[in-house]
Amino acid sequence: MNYYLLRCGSNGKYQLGLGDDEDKDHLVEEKLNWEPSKIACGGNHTLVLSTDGYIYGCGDNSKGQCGIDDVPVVPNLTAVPKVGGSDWTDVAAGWQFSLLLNENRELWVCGEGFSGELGLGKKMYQTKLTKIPGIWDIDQIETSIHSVMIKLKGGQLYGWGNNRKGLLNLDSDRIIWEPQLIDEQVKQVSLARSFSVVVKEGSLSVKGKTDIQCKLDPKEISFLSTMWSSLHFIEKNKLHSMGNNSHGQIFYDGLSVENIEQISLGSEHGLILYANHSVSAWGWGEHGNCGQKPIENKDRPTDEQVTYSLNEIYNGSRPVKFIQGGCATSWIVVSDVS
Amino acid sequence: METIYDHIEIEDFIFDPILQIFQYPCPCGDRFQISLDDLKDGEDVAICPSCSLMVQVVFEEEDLQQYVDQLS
Repeated sequence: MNYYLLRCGSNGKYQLGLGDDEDKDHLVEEKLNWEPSKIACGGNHTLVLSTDGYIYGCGDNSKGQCGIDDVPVVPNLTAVPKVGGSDWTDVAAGWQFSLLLNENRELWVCGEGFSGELGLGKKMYQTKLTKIPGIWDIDQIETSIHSVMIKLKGGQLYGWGNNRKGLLNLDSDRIIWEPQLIDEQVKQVSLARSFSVVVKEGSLSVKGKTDIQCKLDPKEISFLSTMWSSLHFIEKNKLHSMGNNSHGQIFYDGLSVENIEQISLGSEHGLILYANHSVSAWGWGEHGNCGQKPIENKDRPTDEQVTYSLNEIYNGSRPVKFIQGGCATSWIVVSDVS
Repeated sequence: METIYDHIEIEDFIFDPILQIFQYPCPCGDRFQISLDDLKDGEDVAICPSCSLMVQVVFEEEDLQQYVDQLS
């Protein structure tokens, strides 16, 4: 089986891994000789995990955020060294930093951050790949631009980084410099730019700076995720959204989720994968991340011209394995027709 | 009419005392920018050099003195 990586959108720092720095308003395809299993998108860098334990990075590496030494930029997907030869098993990316988990449950961090997002202690602002102390039995890693939340398989929730307005933990300082246990018996989390959502057995809480107030029964929620400034969830088979709607981020309310296979949210746009393998995008699409639009006005586009409502970007001609939204980038992994 | 994408408090920006500008991440990957001089003149909209998004800086005039103090 061959796999192909299709991507479009913002590309000013080579974050699409195509060897150039031009934005793309149509999907550009690359044939791979490995199988992707996860894509993590930072501010201007991208990390792709493979099923055989490699992580490939591209984009801005000026702070070492791709985990590759001594090059300011990584123009094409390039393997990140395996520390001690151990397979990588999970990956996440924030604004200018990355978190990499290996098969020994060691959590490694690289890149730059001034708000404690490296998790290495006070005034640690930049690092090459460094191990964060501890053994990490991770179920879910959530990152936003300057914050990290990690849910362990046992339900314990750890957080560090920017904690403005108690986004991670109401009882902690503005910056949490090292991993801190912030909750237990957690089922799921989602971390937006300035707020977080924590789902437990009988409760759902929203913390941080946001106008979003919701009283939801966790038992009715089958999907929950965030863009930078909005919350999206499926309740009783309907998709709902709350929060910032400056650019059509919240165009639907109560959209039926029949025929929807996957939803993935980027910084201010979203992607929907349908059962027929087509992919549509909505929200803010100024950099081509929601595909093309007939209107051309690159100098000073109006809000309407950069706002999309479910624009098809992939027609489903080949089976889609998964989709991923990034910082104004869109990614689709497809395979050969079997 | 362009809408303001979001409202961001001044302490969430990173201040560069050499360039005398405030910066904050933009969803496109670049950064919103506004200069200390603009804020002193009463301007409060930070723009991104790479896209059309804008944010309003939330601040009080007396907040600016701590940044003036950082200038050498």
